[in-house]
Amino acid sequence: MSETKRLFRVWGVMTAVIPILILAVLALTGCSGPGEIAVVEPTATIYAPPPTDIPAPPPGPTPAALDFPIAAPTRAETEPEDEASDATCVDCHTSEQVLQAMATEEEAPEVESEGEG
Amino acid sequence: MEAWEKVYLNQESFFETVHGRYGCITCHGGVGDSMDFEAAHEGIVREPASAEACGDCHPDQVATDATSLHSNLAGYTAVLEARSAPEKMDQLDEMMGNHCESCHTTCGQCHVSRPTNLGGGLLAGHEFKEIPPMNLTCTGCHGSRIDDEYKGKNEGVKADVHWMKAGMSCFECHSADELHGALGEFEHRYDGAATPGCQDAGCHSDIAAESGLTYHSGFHFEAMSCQVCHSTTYKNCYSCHVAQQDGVPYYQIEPSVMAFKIGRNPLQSEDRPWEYVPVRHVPVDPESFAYYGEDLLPNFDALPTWKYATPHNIQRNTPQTETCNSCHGNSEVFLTADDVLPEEQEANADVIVEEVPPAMP
Repeated sequence: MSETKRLFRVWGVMTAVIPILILAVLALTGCSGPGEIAVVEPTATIYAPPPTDIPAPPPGPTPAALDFPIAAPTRAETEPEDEASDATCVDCHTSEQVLQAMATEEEAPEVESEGEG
Repeated sequence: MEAWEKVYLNQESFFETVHGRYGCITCHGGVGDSMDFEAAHEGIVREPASAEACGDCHPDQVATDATSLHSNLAGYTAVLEARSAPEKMDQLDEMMGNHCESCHTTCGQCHVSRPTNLGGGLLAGHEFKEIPPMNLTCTGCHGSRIDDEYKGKNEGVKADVHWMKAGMSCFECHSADELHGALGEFEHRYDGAATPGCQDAGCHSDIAAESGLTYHSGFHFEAMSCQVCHSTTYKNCYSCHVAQQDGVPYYQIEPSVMAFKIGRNPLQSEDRPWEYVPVRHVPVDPESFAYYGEDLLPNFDALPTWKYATPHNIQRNTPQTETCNSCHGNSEVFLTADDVLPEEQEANADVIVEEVPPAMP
Protein backbone atom coordinates (compact mmCIF):
# COMPACT_ATOMS: atom_id res chain seq x y z
CA MET A 1 0.00 0.00 0.00
CA SER A 2 1.36 3.21 -0.99
CA GLU A 3 2.01 6.06 1.31
CA THR A 4 -0.60 8.20 -0.46
CA LYS A 5 -3.34 5.70 -0.04
CA ARG A 6 -2.50 5.42 3.66
CA LEU A 7 -2.85 9.16 4.10
CA PHE A 8 -6.19 9.15 2.35
CA ARG A 9 -7.43 6.42 4.60
CA VAL A 10 -6.40 8.26 7.79
CA TRP A 11 -8.03 11.43 6.49
CA GLY A 12 -11.23 9.59 5.81
CA VAL A 13 -11.31 8.02 9.25
CA MET A 14 -10.77 11.35 10.93
CA THR A 15 -13.45 12.96 8.84
CA ALA A 16 -15.94 10.42 10.02
CA VAL A 17 -14.90 10.23 13.67
CA ILE A 18 -14.53 13.89 14.55
CA PRO A 19 -18.16 14.97 13.90
CA ILE A 20 -19.33 11.96 15.90
CA LEU A 21 -17.20 13.04 18.82
CA ILE A 22 -18.46 16.55 18.66
CA LEU A 23 -22.05 15.39 18.70
CA ALA A 24 -21.30 13.14 21.64
CA VAL A 25 -19.78 15.98 23.65
CA LEU A 26 -22.77 18.19 22.91
CA ALA A 27 -25.16 15.48 23.98
CA LEU A 28 -23.37 14.93 27.22
CA THR A 29 -23.27 18.67 27.89
CA GLY A 30 -27.04 18.97 27.53
CA CYS A 31 -27.58 16.42 30.25
CA SER A 32 -25.70 18.42 32.84
CA GLY A 33 -27.63 20.48 35.55
CA PRO A 34 -28.76 24.06 35.01
CA GLY A 35 -26.26 26.76 35.76
CA GLU A 36 -26.93 29.45 38.30
CA ILE A 37 -29.31 32.14 36.97
CA ALA A 38 -28.61 35.69 37.99
CA VAL A 39 -31.69 37.41 39.39
CA VAL A 40 -32.31 40.76 37.84
CA GLU A 41 -34.56 43.11 39.71
CA PRO A 42 -37.50 44.32 37.53
CA THR A 43 -37.52 47.93 36.69
CA ALA A 44 -40.59 50.04 36.32
CA THR A 45 -41.97 50.26 32.86
CA ILE A 46 -41.82 53.76 31.55
CA TYR A 47 -45.20 54.78 30.31
CA ALA A 48 -46.13 57.88 28.32
CA PRO A 49 -47.72 60.54 30.54
CA PRO A 50 -51.49 60.38 30.62
CA PRO A 51 -53.25 62.87 28.28
CA THR A 52 -54.25 66.15 29.80
CA ASP A 53 -57.30 68.27 28.94
CA ILE A 54 -56.83 70.66 26.09
CA PRO A 55 -56.74 74.07 27.72
CA ALA A 56 -59.79 76.21 26.96
CA PRO A 57 -59.12 79.11 24.63
CA PRO A 58 -58.83 82.43 26.37
CA PRO A 59 -62.15 84.22 26.56
CA GLY A 60 -62.84 86.56 23.66
CA PRO A 61 -63.87 90.18 24.03
CA THR A 62 -67.29 90.53 25.54
CA PRO A 63 -69.47 93.07 23.74
CA ALA A 64 -70.63 95.68 26.14
CA ALA A 65 -73.87 97.54 25.69
CA LEU A 66 -73.29 101.15 24.83
CA ASP A 67 -75.64 104.02 25.02
CA PHE A 68 -75.94 105.80 21.74
CA PRO A 69 -75.19 108.44 20.91
CA ILE A 70 -71.93 108.00 22.72
CA ALA A 71 -71.32 110.83 25.03
CA ALA A 72 -68.94 113.39 23.66
CA PRO A 73 -65.88 114.00 25.74
CA THR A 74 -66.28 116.90 28.03
CA ARG A 75 -63.77 119.63 28.19
CA ALA A 76 -62.36 120.48 31.49
CA GLU A 77 -62.49 124.20 30.97
CA THR A 78 -66.21 124.12 30.40
CA GLU A 79 -66.98 122.38 33.66
CA PRO A 80 -68.17 124.72 36.34
CA GLU A 81 -65.44 125.51 38.79
CA ASP A 82 -67.77 125.39 41.74
CA GLU A 83 -70.36 122.87 40.87
CA ALA A 84 -73.48 124.23 42.39
CA SER A 85 -76.12 121.76 43.37
CA ASP A 86 -79.13 121.93 41.14
CA ALA A 87 -81.03 119.19 42.90
CA THR A 88 -83.68 121.63 43.95
CA CYS A 89 -84.10 122.86 40.38
CA VAL A 90 -84.58 119.29 39.20
CA ASP A 91 -86.94 118.38 41.99
CA CYS A 92 -89.31 121.18 41.12
CA HIS A 93 -89.03 121.17 37.34
CA THR A 94 -89.65 117.44 37.06
CA SER A 95 -92.76 117.56 39.23
CA GLU A 96 -95.96 118.32 37.43
CA GLN A 97 -97.74 118.83 40.75
CA VAL A 98 -95.20 121.27 42.10
CA LEU A 99 -95.11 123.31 38.93
CA GLN A 100 -98.87 123.47 38.70
CA ALA A 101 -99.11 124.51 42.32
CA MET A 102 -96.55 127.25 41.93
CA ALA A 103 -97.64 128.52 38.54
CA THR A 104 -99.12 131.95 38.46
CA GLU A 105 -101.41 133.23 35.79
CA GLU A 106 -99.49 135.11 33.17
CA GLU A 107 -100.52 138.70 33.14
CA ALA A 108 -102.68 139.16 30.13
CA PRO A 109 -101.78 142.31 28.29
CA GLU A 110 -104.50 144.85 28.46
CA VAL A 111 -104.26 145.45 24.77
CA GLU A 112 -103.91 142.73 22.21
CA SER A 113 -102.52 142.95 18.76
CA GLU A 114 -104.95 142.75 15.90
CA GLY A 115 -104.44 140.92 12.66
CA GLU A 116 -102.04 138.35 11.38
CA GLY A 117 -98.52 138.58 12.66
CA MET B 1 -99.33 125.76 26.39
CA GLU B 2 -99.90 126.39 30.10
CA ALA B 3 -97.27 128.36 31.97
CA TRP B 4 -96.16 125.36 34.00
CA GLU B 5 -95.86 123.18 30.92
CA LYS B 6 -93.36 125.53 29.40
CA VAL B 7 -90.80 124.73 32.08
CA TYR B 8 -91.79 121.12 32.79
CA LEU B 9 -88.94 118.67 32.29
CA ASN B 10 -91.02 115.58 31.66
CA GLN B 11 -88.12 113.48 30.46
CA GLU B 12 -85.71 112.87 33.29
CA SER B 13 -83.49 110.97 30.86
CA PHE B 14 -82.34 114.42 29.81
CA PHE B 15 -80.10 114.52 32.86
CA GLU B 16 -78.14 111.56 31.50
CA THR B 17 -77.38 113.32 28.25
CA VAL B 18 -74.29 115.35 27.56
CA HIS B 19 -76.20 118.60 27.89
CA GLY B 20 -77.99 117.44 31.00
CA ARG B 21 -74.76 116.64 32.80
CA TYR B 22 -73.82 120.28 32.84
CA GLY B 23 -76.62 120.95 35.25
CA CYS B 24 -79.16 123.72 35.26
CA ILE B 25 -77.11 126.47 36.82
CA THR B 26 -74.22 126.26 34.38
CA CYS B 27 -76.36 127.74 31.63
CA HIS B 28 -79.31 129.30 33.43
CA GLY B 29 -77.78 130.67 36.59
CA GLY B 30 -80.03 130.94 39.63
CA VAL B 31 -79.48 129.54 43.10
CA GLY B 32 -79.56 125.77 43.29
CA ASP B 33 -79.88 125.05 46.97
CA SER B 34 -82.76 127.32 47.81
CA MET B 35 -86.30 126.13 48.39
CA ASP B 36 -87.64 129.66 48.11
CA PHE B 37 -89.06 130.44 44.69
CA GLU B 38 -87.79 134.00 44.51
CA ALA B 39 -84.36 133.20 45.89
CA ALA B 40 -83.94 130.15 43.69
CA HIS B 41 -84.66 132.19 40.58
CA GLU B 42 -82.48 135.13 41.41
CA GLY B 43 -80.34 135.94 38.40
CA ILE B 44 -82.02 133.29 36.30
CA VAL B 45 -81.33 133.45 32.57
CA ARG B 46 -84.31 132.23 30.62
CA GLU B 47 -82.59 132.25 27.24
CA PRO B 48 -78.86 131.64 27.60
CA ALA B 49 -76.87 133.57 25.03
CA SER B 50 -75.64 131.43 22.17
CA ALA B 51 -71.97 132.34 22.46
CA GLU B 52 -71.67 131.85 26.21
CA ALA B 53 -73.81 128.75 26.52
CA CYS B 54 -72.93 126.88 23.34
CA GLY B 55 -69.65 128.28 22.06
CA ASP B 56 -67.23 126.01 23.90
CA CYS B 57 -68.55 122.84 22.33
CA HIS B 58 -70.08 124.18 19.12
CA PRO B 59 -67.59 126.84 18.06
CA ASP B 60 -68.28 126.54 14.33
CA GLN B 61 -71.99 127.14 14.66
CA VAL B 62 -71.60 129.91 17.18
CA ALA B 63 -68.90 131.60 15.10
CA THR B 64 -71.47 132.44 12.44
CA ASP B 65 -74.18 133.40 14.88
CA ALA B 66 -73.32 137.05 14.55
CA THR B 67 -73.91 136.93 10.78
CA SER B 68 -77.08 134.87 10.97
CA LEU B 69 -80.11 136.90 10.01
CA HIS B 70 -82.04 134.83 12.54
CA SER B 71 -79.77 136.19 15.22
CA ASN B 72 -78.86 139.69 14.16
CA LEU B 73 -82.13 140.73 12.48
CA ALA B 74 -80.06 142.62 9.93
CA GLY B 75 -82.91 142.43 7.46
CA TYR B 76 -85.09 144.62 9.68
CA THR B 77 -82.31 147.10 10.29
CA ALA B 78 -81.43 147.29 6.60
CA VAL B 79 -84.91 148.32 5.48
CA LEU B 80 -85.40 150.76 8.36
CA GLU B 81 -82.09 152.44 7.59
CA ALA B 82 -82.99 152.62 3.92
CA ARG B 83 -86.40 154.18 4.50
CA SER B 84 -85.36 156.38 7.43
CA ALA B 85 -82.49 158.74 8.25
CA PRO B 86 -79.61 158.52 10.74
CA GLU B 87 -81.16 161.09 13.10
CA LYS B 88 -84.31 159.00 13.34
CA MET B 89 -82.65 155.72 14.20
CA ASP B 90 -82.68 156.19 17.98
CA GLN B 91 -86.46 156.24 17.95
CA LEU B 92 -86.59 153.32 15.58
CA ASP B 93 -84.14 151.40 17.75
CA GLU B 94 -86.56 151.85 20.65
CA MET B 95 -89.35 150.60 18.44
CA MET B 96 -87.20 147.64 17.40
CA GLY B 97 -86.54 146.78 21.01
CA ASN B 98 -90.22 146.79 21.88
CA HIS B 99 -91.67 145.10 18.85
CA CYS B 100 -88.99 143.18 16.97
CA GLU B 101 -86.33 141.91 19.35
CA SER B 102 -88.43 138.99 20.50
CA CYS B 103 -88.13 137.65 16.97
CA HIS B 104 -84.39 137.42 17.52
CA THR B 105 -83.41 133.77 17.78
CA THR B 106 -80.84 132.13 20.00
CA CYS B 107 -79.59 128.55 19.57
CA GLY B 108 -82.00 127.40 22.25
CA GLN B 109 -85.04 129.03 20.70
CA CYS B 110 -84.88 126.55 17.84
CA HIS B 111 -83.14 123.54 19.37
CA VAL B 112 -84.64 123.48 22.88
CA SER B 113 -87.76 125.60 23.06
CA ARG B 114 -90.26 127.41 20.95
CA PRO B 115 -89.19 130.94 20.07
CA THR B 116 -89.80 133.57 22.75
CA ASN B 117 -91.88 135.40 20.17
CA LEU B 118 -94.44 132.62 20.60
CA GLY B 119 -94.22 132.65 24.36
CA GLY B 120 -91.50 130.04 24.61
CA GLY B 121 -92.02 126.60 26.11
CA LEU B 122 -89.79 123.54 26.00
CA LEU B 123 -90.08 121.41 22.87
CA ALA B 124 -89.65 118.05 24.60
CA GLY B 125 -88.62 118.24 28.23
CA HIS B 126 -85.47 120.22 27.50
CA GLU B 127 -84.22 117.61 25.05
CA PHE B 128 -81.91 119.24 22.52
CA LYS B 129 -83.32 118.67 19.06
CA GLU B 130 -80.61 118.53 16.42
CA ILE B 131 -83.35 119.03 13.86
CA PRO B 132 -86.02 121.24 15.39
CA PRO B 133 -89.68 120.39 14.79
CA MET B 134 -90.63 122.75 11.99
CA ASN B 135 -94.20 123.24 13.18
CA LEU B 136 -93.08 124.53 16.58
CA THR B 137 -90.08 126.54 15.54
CA CYS B 138 -89.85 127.54 11.86
CA THR B 139 -93.50 128.07 11.15
CA GLY B 140 -94.03 129.43 14.62
CA CYS B 141 -92.48 132.63 13.29
CA HIS B 142 -92.92 132.13 9.55
CA GLY B 143 -96.51 131.11 9.94
CA SER B 144 -99.11 133.42 8.56
CA ARG B 145 -97.55 133.53 5.13
CA ILE B 146 -95.12 130.64 4.64
CA ASP B 147 -96.89 127.99 6.71
CA ASP B 148 -100.29 128.84 5.31
CA GLU B 149 -98.97 128.72 1.77
CA TYR B 150 -96.86 125.62 2.17
CA LYS B 151 -99.54 123.53 3.85
CA GLY B 152 -102.46 124.76 1.81
CA LYS B 153 -104.20 126.62 4.62
CA ASN B 154 -105.29 129.46 2.41
CA GLU B 155 -108.82 128.77 1.28
CA GLY B 156 -108.97 127.50 -2.27
CA VAL B 157 -105.22 127.28 -2.70
CA LYS B 158 -103.52 123.91 -2.80
CA ALA B 159 -100.55 123.12 -0.62
CA ASP B 160 -97.06 123.27 -2.05
CA VAL B 161 -96.28 120.17 -4.09
CA HIS B 162 -93.14 119.60 -2.03
CA TRP B 163 -95.31 119.26 1.06
CA MET B 164 -98.36 117.65 -0.46
CA LYS B 165 -96.55 114.92 -2.38
CA ALA B 166 -93.23 114.58 -0.61
CA GLY B 167 -93.91 115.89 2.89
CA MET B 168 -90.64 117.77 2.77
CA SER B 169 -89.70 119.69 5.89
CA CYS B 170 -88.14 123.14 5.82
CA PHE B 171 -84.70 121.65 6.35
CA GLU B 172 -84.73 119.62 3.19
CA CYS B 173 -84.29 122.81 1.20
CA HIS B 174 -82.99 125.26 3.79
CA SER B 175 -79.63 123.94 4.99
CA ALA B 176 -78.17 124.31 8.45
CA ASP B 177 -75.46 126.49 6.94
CA GLU B 178 -78.07 128.82 5.53
CA LEU B 179 -80.05 128.97 8.75
CA HIS B 180 -76.92 129.40 10.87
CA GLY B 181 -75.59 132.24 8.72
CA ALA B 182 -72.58 130.21 7.56
CA LEU B 183 -72.97 131.15 3.90
CA GLY B 184 -71.70 134.69 4.44
CA GLU B 185 -72.79 138.02 5.77
CA PHE B 186 -75.94 139.32 4.18
CA GLU B 187 -78.06 142.41 4.64
CA HIS B 188 -81.34 140.61 4.12
CA ARG B 189 -82.63 137.20 3.14
CA TYR B 190 -82.57 137.87 -0.59
CA ASP B 191 -79.04 139.25 -0.50
CA GLY B 192 -76.52 137.13 -2.42
CA ALA B 193 -77.21 134.00 -4.40
CA ALA B 194 -80.67 132.48 -4.50
CA THR B 195 -80.40 129.99 -1.67
CA PRO B 196 -81.88 127.50 -1.80
CA GLY B 197 -82.15 127.23 -5.57
CA CYS B 198 -84.55 124.90 -7.33
CA GLN B 199 -81.64 123.07 -8.94
CA ASP B 200 -79.58 122.68 -5.78
CA ALA B 201 -78.62 119.26 -4.46
CA GLY B 202 -79.50 117.58 -7.72
CA CYS B 203 -83.13 118.64 -7.57
CA HIS B 204 -84.63 119.64 -10.92
CA SER B 205 -81.17 119.52 -12.42
CA ASP B 206 -82.71 118.41 -15.70
CA ILE B 207 -84.59 121.67 -15.98
CA ALA B 208 -82.57 123.98 -18.15
CA ALA B 209 -83.01 126.38 -21.01
CA GLU B 210 -82.09 123.66 -23.50
CA SER B 211 -83.97 120.85 -21.79
CA GLY B 212 -86.55 120.66 -24.54
CA LEU B 213 -89.46 121.54 -22.29
CA THR B 214 -91.75 123.82 -24.23
CA TYR B 215 -91.85 126.80 -21.91
CA HIS B 216 -88.37 126.37 -20.47
CA SER B 217 -86.59 127.45 -23.59
CA GLY B 218 -85.07 130.77 -24.37
CA PHE B 219 -86.79 133.83 -23.05
CA HIS B 220 -89.09 132.29 -20.46
CA PHE B 221 -86.37 130.45 -18.61
CA GLU B 222 -84.00 133.36 -18.46
CA ALA B 223 -86.46 136.19 -18.00
CA MET B 224 -88.47 135.00 -15.04
CA SER B 225 -87.95 133.20 -11.79
CA CYS B 226 -89.42 129.72 -11.39
CA GLN B 227 -92.17 131.08 -9.13
CA VAL B 228 -93.57 133.30 -11.86
CA CYS B 229 -95.05 130.23 -13.51
CA HIS B 230 -95.10 127.73 -10.64
CA SER B 231 -96.48 129.60 -7.65
CA THR B 232 -99.98 130.80 -7.16
CA THR B 233 -102.12 133.10 -5.04
CA TYR B 234 -100.55 134.25 -1.78
CA LYS B 235 -101.13 136.68 1.05
CA ASN B 236 -100.31 140.36 0.85
CA CYS B 237 -100.29 142.53 3.95
CA TYR B 238 -101.05 146.20 4.39
CA SER B 239 -100.81 148.98 6.89
CA CYS B 240 -99.23 147.60 10.03
CA HIS B 241 -98.98 150.05 12.92
CA VAL B 242 -97.20 149.47 16.19
CA ALA B 243 -97.80 151.22 19.51
CA GLN B 244 -97.92 150.66 23.26
CA GLN B 245 -100.67 150.90 25.81
CA ASP B 246 -99.71 151.00 29.45
CA GLY B 247 -96.28 149.78 28.46
CA VAL B 248 -97.58 146.79 26.55
CA PRO B 249 -96.45 146.71 22.92
CA TYR B 250 -99.00 145.77 20.31
CA TYR B 251 -99.63 146.02 16.60
CA GLN B 252 -102.63 146.46 14.37
CA ILE B 253 -102.72 145.33 10.77
CA GLU B 254 -105.31 145.28 8.04
CA PRO B 255 -106.66 141.91 6.94
CA SER B 256 -104.41 140.27 4.38
CA VAL B 257 -105.38 140.22 0.71
CA MET B 258 -104.93 137.16 -1.48
CA ALA B 259 -103.40 137.99 -4.84
CA PHE B 260 -100.76 136.93 -7.33
CA LYS B 261 -98.81 139.65 -9.06
CA ILE B 262 -95.84 139.51 -11.40
CA GLY B 263 -93.65 142.57 -11.15
CA ARG B 264 -90.31 143.73 -12.40
CA ASN B 265 -87.48 142.29 -10.36
CA PRO B 266 -86.49 144.88 -7.74
CA LEU B 267 -83.37 142.87 -6.85
CA GLN B 268 -82.11 142.12 -10.36
CA SER B 269 -78.47 141.09 -10.18
CA GLU B 270 -76.07 138.50 -11.50
CA ASP B 271 -77.36 136.15 -8.80
CA ARG B 272 -81.01 136.91 -9.57
CA PRO B 273 -80.98 137.91 -13.22
CA TRP B 274 -84.67 137.51 -13.97
CA GLU B 275 -86.62 140.43 -15.31
CA TYR B 276 -89.88 139.27 -13.78
CA VAL B 277 -90.60 137.82 -10.33
CA PRO B 278 -93.68 137.50 -8.13
CA VAL B 279 -94.02 140.50 -5.83
CA ARG B 280 -95.75 140.60 -2.47
CA HIS B 281 -97.05 143.66 -0.66
CA VAL B 282 -95.38 143.99 2.72
CA PRO B 283 -97.17 145.52 5.71
CA VAL B 284 -95.11 148.69 6.01
CA ASP B 285 -96.86 152.04 5.84
CA PRO B 286 -95.43 155.58 6.00
CA GLU B 287 -97.04 155.89 9.44
CA SER B 288 -96.23 152.40 10.73
CA PHE B 289 -94.01 153.74 13.52
CA ALA B 290 -95.71 157.08 14.16
CA TYR B 291 -96.22 156.20 17.83
CA TYR B 292 -92.47 156.62 18.33
CA GLY B 293 -92.09 159.92 16.53
CA GLU B 294 -93.07 162.03 13.58
CA ASP B 295 -91.90 161.29 10.10
CA LEU B 296 -89.67 158.39 11.08
CA LEU B 297 -89.58 157.09 7.51
CA PRO B 298 -88.63 160.21 5.52
CA ASN B 299 -87.20 158.06 2.72
CA PHE B 300 -90.14 155.73 2.55
CA ASP B 301 -89.93 155.61 -1.24
CA ALA B 302 -86.37 154.28 -1.19
CA LEU B 303 -87.71 150.74 -1.29
CA PRO B 304 -90.77 149.26 -2.93
CA THR B 305 -93.72 148.08 -0.89
CA TRP B 306 -94.31 145.33 -3.43
CA LYS B 307 -91.27 143.24 -2.76
CA TYR B 308 -89.43 140.36 -4.34
CA ALA B 309 -91.20 137.21 -3.22
CA THR B 310 -90.72 133.47 -3.25
CA PRO B 311 -94.18 132.10 -2.42
CA HIS B 312 -94.11 128.64 -0.87
CA ASN B 313 -97.05 127.21 -2.78
CA ILE B 314 -95.25 125.69 -5.75
CA GLN B 315 -97.36 123.74 -8.24
CA ARG B 316 -96.46 122.10 -11.49
CA ASN B 317 -99.64 123.41 -13.07
CA THR B 318 -100.91 126.86 -12.16
CA PRO B 319 -103.29 129.35 -13.77
CA GLN B 320 -100.24 130.86 -15.48
CA THR B 321 -99.31 127.58 -17.18
CA GLU B 322 -102.74 126.91 -18.66
CA THR B 323 -102.30 128.83 -21.89
CA CYS B 324 -99.95 131.41 -23.36
CA ASN B 325 -102.56 134.07 -22.87
CA SER B 326 -102.91 133.30 -19.21
CA CYS B 327 -100.11 135.83 -18.95
CA HIS B 328 -99.75 137.36 -22.38
CA GLY B 329 -102.17 140.21 -22.65
CA ASN B 330 -103.55 139.53 -19.16
CA SER B 331 -102.91 142.56 -17.01
CA GLU B 332 -104.57 140.83 -14.04
CA VAL B 333 -101.46 138.80 -13.26
CA PHE B 334 -99.06 141.71 -13.59
CA LEU B 335 -98.49 144.49 -11.08
CA THR B 336 -99.69 147.53 -12.96
CA ALA B 337 -100.07 151.09 -11.72
CA ASP B 338 -103.73 150.41 -11.02
CA ASP B 339 -102.75 147.89 -8.36
CA VAL B 340 -100.60 150.34 -6.42
CA LEU B 341 -101.88 152.82 -3.86
CA PRO B 342 -101.42 156.44 -4.94
CA GLU B 343 -99.05 157.21 -2.05
CA GLU B 344 -96.89 154.20 -2.99
CA GLN B 345 -96.55 154.85 -6.71
CA GLU B 346 -93.12 156.41 -6.33
CA ALA B 347 -91.81 153.64 -4.11
CA ASN B 348 -92.88 151.01 -6.62
CA ALA B 349 -91.94 152.79 -9.82
CA ASP B 350 -89.24 150.23 -10.64
CA VAL B 351 -91.49 147.27 -9.91
CA ILE B 352 -94.65 148.24 -11.78
CA VAL B 353 -95.04 146.58 -15.16
CA GLU B 354 -95.86 149.38 -17.54
CA GLU B 355 -96.33 147.26 -20.62
CA VAL B 356 -97.91 143.86 -20.33
CA PRO B 357 -96.57 141.33 -22.87
CA PRO B 358 -98.96 141.30 -25.82
CA ALA B 359 -101.50 138.55 -26.30
CA MET B 360 -100.48 135.68 -28.52
CA PRO B 361 -102.46 135.09 -31.71
